Amino acid sequence: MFKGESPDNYEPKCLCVLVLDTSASMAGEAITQLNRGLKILHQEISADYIASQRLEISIITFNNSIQRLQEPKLVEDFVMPTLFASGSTRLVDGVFEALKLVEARKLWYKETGQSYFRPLLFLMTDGEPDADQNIRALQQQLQSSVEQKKLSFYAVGVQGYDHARLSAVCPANMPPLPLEGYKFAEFFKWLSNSVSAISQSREADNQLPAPDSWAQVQI
Amino acid sequence: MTHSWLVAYASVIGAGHIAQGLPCQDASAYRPLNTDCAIAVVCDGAGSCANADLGAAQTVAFALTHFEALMHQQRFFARLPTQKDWQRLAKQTLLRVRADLKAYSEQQGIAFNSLSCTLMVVLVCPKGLLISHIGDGRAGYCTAQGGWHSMLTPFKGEEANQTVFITAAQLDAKNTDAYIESRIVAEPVKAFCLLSDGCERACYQCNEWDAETQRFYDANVPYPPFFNPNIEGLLALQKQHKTQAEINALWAAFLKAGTPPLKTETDDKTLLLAVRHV
Repeated sequence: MFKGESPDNYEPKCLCVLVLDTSASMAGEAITQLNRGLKILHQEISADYIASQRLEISIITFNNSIQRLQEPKLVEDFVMPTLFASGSTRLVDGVFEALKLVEARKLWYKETGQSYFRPLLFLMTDGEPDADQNIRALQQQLQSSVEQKKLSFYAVGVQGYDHARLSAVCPANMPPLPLEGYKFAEFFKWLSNSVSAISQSREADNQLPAPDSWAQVQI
Repeated sequence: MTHSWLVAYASVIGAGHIAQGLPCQDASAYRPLNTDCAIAVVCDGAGSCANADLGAAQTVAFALTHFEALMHQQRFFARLPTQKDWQRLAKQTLLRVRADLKAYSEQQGIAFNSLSCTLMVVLVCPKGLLISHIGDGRAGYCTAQGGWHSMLTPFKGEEANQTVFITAAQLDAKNTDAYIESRIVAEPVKAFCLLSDGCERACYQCNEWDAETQRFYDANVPYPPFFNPNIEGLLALQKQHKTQAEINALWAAFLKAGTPPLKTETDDKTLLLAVRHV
């Protein structure tokens, strides 16, 4: 009969940066459900061996300040933080911080000889960026990063968001996906399930599977 | 004809493909040509391409036809080519396989790129092995003294899941040598393996930590504790007079969950193990 031992190989890494709106407008049900969703993400990834060894999660929050709440780590190495909502919406600064983090992490992967999948960047917001935020500069940067396949970017609009304003941030042909109700839990389950799909997609099309029950069909 | 090699090979669907409703997109074959000679082929279809399963199956079939013809024309039964000649001949033959696949896509009215897959070929000759490939995957051999060595370097891009496929536009250009690697093992070989990347975590040392350099590295070496017991297993099955189909069925069951990395792998898995027994 057949039998044998396998070697101890490390897994390639998949960086996932969550850029989350914690401005005052997220207070109440939205932030409660977002916190619940984050804990579900942690549980789902922990229960999936391959995903738990590949997915490095980072969390950046933005309101009137930008916080790197969680540096990139495997789920076994951190406890999911609880978010609180207050303040304004420095969305553009938050996403730029994430872009800096992605570049630094990729450089570290290269320097340490680690193989990696294309990083994922998720922006979740219900609000409009503050008036002094340079939306145009961010849109151009995201457009360029996505075109050069440096990362995959997805914006998720939380109930009450302005679709046209958030679309102005997104790369062309990649409009925001509207979250149905406060289905953060469904969204994060979908994200967890998508990790194995990402690691199988080959070459240019590093696309996530189609959104399921968390997304509104009609915009 | 008594073939001097025992072989176990199978392509099994990965858990991720089952979850996504995708078919197994790997394909493999082993064709004995005479007592000492054979052709082994493994193709790994590109997960995101609509007809990758068809592409892998067709590419295996075309590769068997063209490389068998090459064996006869070049009389590899009698002598091995030089490295330079092998690279030239393998490239010509791989491009014939590619042309056939392109013609097939036109006949079927489907996009050529939708058939994307990698291709690895091993020609088993009396005096050694001839290997050529496009894309990723692994191939290794065991010397008469029992040492395991790699016989190809997988083509990898910047990201972990990037490689080049037989359909790639780069293969239309003049500088195709950058994408086709051909090697010769000109010594007696006790066993060899050929596998898609879905099996590499389970049986290759391919992502290890070097404390001295503080870097991860790809040793690209077949893992003896994986292969040596299976050589024994294959020889034992022969003594039990198992048919090739029975051996392959047992091998497929082993590939599904025989070790923890085989069990957790989400990608399709193909592994061919051949052992010289006379």
